[in-house]
Amino acid sequence: MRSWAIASREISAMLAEKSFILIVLLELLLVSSSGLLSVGYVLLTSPESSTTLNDLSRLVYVGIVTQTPEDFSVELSRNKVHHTFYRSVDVAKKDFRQGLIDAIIIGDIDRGPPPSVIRVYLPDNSPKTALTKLALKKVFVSMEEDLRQDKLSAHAPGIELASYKIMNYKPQARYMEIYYIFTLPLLLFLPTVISGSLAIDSITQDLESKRMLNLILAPLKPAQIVFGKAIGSFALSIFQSVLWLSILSATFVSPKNHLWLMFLVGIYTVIFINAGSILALYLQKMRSSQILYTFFSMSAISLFSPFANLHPLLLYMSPSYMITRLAMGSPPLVFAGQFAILLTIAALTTLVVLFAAPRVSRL
Amino acid sequence: MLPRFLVISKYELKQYRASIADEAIILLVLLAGFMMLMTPEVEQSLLPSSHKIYRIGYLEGSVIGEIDSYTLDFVPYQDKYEMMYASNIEKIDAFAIMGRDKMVFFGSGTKKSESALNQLNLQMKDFNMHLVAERALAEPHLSGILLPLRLDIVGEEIDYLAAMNGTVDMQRKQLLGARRAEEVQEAQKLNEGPAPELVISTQASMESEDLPEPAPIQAAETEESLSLPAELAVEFPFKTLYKNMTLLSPLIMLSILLSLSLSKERIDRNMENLFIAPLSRWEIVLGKSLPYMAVMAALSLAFGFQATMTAQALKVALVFAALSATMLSFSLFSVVISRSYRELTFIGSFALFAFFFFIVLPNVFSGVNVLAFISPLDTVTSIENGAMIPYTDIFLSLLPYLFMSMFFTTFAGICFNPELMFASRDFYALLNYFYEALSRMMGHRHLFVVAAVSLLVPFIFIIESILAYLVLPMGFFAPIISLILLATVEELTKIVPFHFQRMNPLKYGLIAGASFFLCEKMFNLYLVYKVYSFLGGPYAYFLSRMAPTLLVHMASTSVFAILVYYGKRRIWYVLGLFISVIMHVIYNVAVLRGAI
Repeated sequence: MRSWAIASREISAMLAEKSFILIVLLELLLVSSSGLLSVGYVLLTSPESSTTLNDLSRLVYVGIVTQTPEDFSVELSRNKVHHTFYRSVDVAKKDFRQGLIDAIIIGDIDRGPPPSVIRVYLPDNSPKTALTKLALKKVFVSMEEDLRQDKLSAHAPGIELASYKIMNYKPQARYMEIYYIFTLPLLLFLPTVISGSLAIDSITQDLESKRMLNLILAPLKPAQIVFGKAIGSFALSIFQSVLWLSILSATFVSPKNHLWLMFLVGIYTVIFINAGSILALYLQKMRSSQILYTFFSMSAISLFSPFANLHPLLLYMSPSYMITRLAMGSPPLVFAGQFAILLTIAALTTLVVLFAAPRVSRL
Repeated sequence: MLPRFLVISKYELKQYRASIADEAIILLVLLAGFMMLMTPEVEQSLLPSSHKIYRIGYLEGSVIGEIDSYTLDFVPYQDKYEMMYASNIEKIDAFAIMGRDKMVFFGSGTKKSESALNQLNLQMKDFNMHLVAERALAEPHLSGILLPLRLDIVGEEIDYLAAMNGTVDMQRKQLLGARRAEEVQEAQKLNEGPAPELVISTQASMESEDLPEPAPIQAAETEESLSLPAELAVEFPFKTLYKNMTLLSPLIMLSILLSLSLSKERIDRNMENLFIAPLSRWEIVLGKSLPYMAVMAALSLAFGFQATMTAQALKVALVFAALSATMLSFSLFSVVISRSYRELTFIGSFALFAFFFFIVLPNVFSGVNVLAFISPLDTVTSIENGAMIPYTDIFLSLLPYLFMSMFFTTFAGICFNPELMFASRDFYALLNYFYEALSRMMGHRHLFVVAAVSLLVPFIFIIESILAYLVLPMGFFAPIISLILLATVEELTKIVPFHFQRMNPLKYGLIAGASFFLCEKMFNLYLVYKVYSFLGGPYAYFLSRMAPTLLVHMASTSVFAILVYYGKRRIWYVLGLFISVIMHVIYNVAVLRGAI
């Protein structure tokens, strides 16, 4: 009960400051820009499937030196790639080196049994090369498919190749996916990280300004002071996760396993608050505690990135992996091992906080 | 005898020397950037959250079982009906059944299933190609038929600056048109006949000595250097993004350290001693910031030479130094406006993510989309790719950030006094104080309006950049939504100084509108040069119609100011905003439609 008194004081102060609105604003920015993030994500991971990039093929200019221009012209036009046929390789190279064309294609299409070898000049020193490659890849893959069919019917009619069909398939942007794999995990995890930082602020500010003295003199146990201060941060984190789960549930995202997600957020929050409290209690200074905590939290956030692919343990313990899978409806029991590890960490860090709590009186 | 501000710097450094832990952490922070650059690259750029997120059912024994995918989890079933039932209860997102001559995939009909099918399509394209390649390997006589196209990729240096210049787009069309015309003329001469179709004429008129040498089928050894179209690796500048983030992190940490240090002085009231000492406020701020500025400058220079060992390194260093200045000035600003450590954490977290959105994220689009020009890091990427970026480009891309630094520093300088630092005033009260002080500093009200409005314009630049982000995925509706949002943001910003410092509303409207117009156009120089020319079309109208734009800015601000001045209730603010935004939007739409 006495911890609640401290907690309510902390929450009142937080509400009075109104600056927590900035965090909600930040999260709002994250949600609203998810569409764009999906563009960036697809661009980084599988550029071939990016509709944005496909539309940008018209920014690519290609020069061609060939004796079979029709074969190239059809596919390049279909993919909206600007193209010009040159008679001389030297002239094409001159234009290429001056940046007038983004690539040169040299070679002819052979419809006989041997393969056609096409030489492609691409710039070594331009970030636009990726876009040019993408446009050319689409063109060449398409040309290859058509050419294979022609050659098979002309030279090897009995051969059948593997093929597939997807029923009711319509290509679409991967907007929804980004909400599950990026936006939702970040929305749920970010407040837990910030809660640890707030715990540090709450303890060290009172220690450095000597206001902790008032609390020490009150009939409170050190652990009650520390946990009382932590409750405010915990409540803010949980409030935010409830808020975003409710908002996203009302949209097309509709995450599953709400309670388990809340439970997971709760465990993470406890771990981060405990980590922050331990640092604040041992270092007693805001600056040192915050710097160390930043390293700690950044390491945890790095598990959201492809770094987690370095080892299966990192991958399966990645918060984003767990949150996404739970939100997409995986049975919670699949994560029994991860939950057990996280609960153990939470319990152990809580014990350390209890052990370190008397340090609040070291003013 | 050290200058007085250097004494403060010495005192600041001493704080770190007092604690070995602090020293070690700082050293780690400074080395972090370079350490990260040495870490091995991660092959997979896929996020761990996307690992096996879609479940695809297949019948045991099917070739599907051989597929190894990061995103798709292939689940074997023994019975077809069991698999279909699993799809019905959404246990799996799609399933595969072998048809008469092909594999047929069925989705479960959910949104998630649609995404799964998208991924599946990509995966199956690769897998089919893999099967074809395997067969070509097993039956070499079919190789040229099954894999009819081989690519010999050759990398060459180009005049990068010309290639990346937005204005080259039109030139290219014209020059390529001219090249075609030349070839048509030559064809006419050679054939002495009428000019055939442009593209075909090229082929028809080729002289034997001008023809490219027929591409020979490569010998077996060289064939290994050839690639298949599907193997053409498309890598987007992930490494650039990762690298620039890595380099920025020590700079961010240093600016955080400054804000933590100043905040500590404020909370434990050590700052009172500094205010009592015979030091001006600027000396205190400069003395405190100097150690961080020095380290950031050294790091910026190191980053420059890390990017390139040419004279261009100084340009890269300039970009990082200017970003450091923005971060440091924001640190000062955040300390002045935050009343507790907690507020500092909230503001810092917000700033960190905002920084990521404006500076780092646009870098992904480098060379791909005009959005990249929003970030000054685009010039760094260009230099890393061998471009000779002129100093004017560097300066123009940094201008909004330099102006923003000016605002933050001016604000922090004015509000950094004992009265405000220990009174815990809220941001509104601080803004009120700031505008009052700025009004006194400027001496004349007209000058005040010019200064106050000009200092706010960089924020418009940033907000408009955010809006560009937000409306981008809206496709068809993006232009009109962005016009309304941009007009609202601009009208609101122009009225902020008037809200705090009342004066003749008509005069305010005219001066604020004109100041805003001039400052905005100055900031947009870079975008005008880079982006607008890239997009061409409607934007050219804005440039050719400067005078009406100026008048609209003046008129809309005047209307808003008059309504705010004479209206006694808050509803007049809403009405003023509504009318000024309508005026603004109507003008923009009229310009876009070519009516003006």
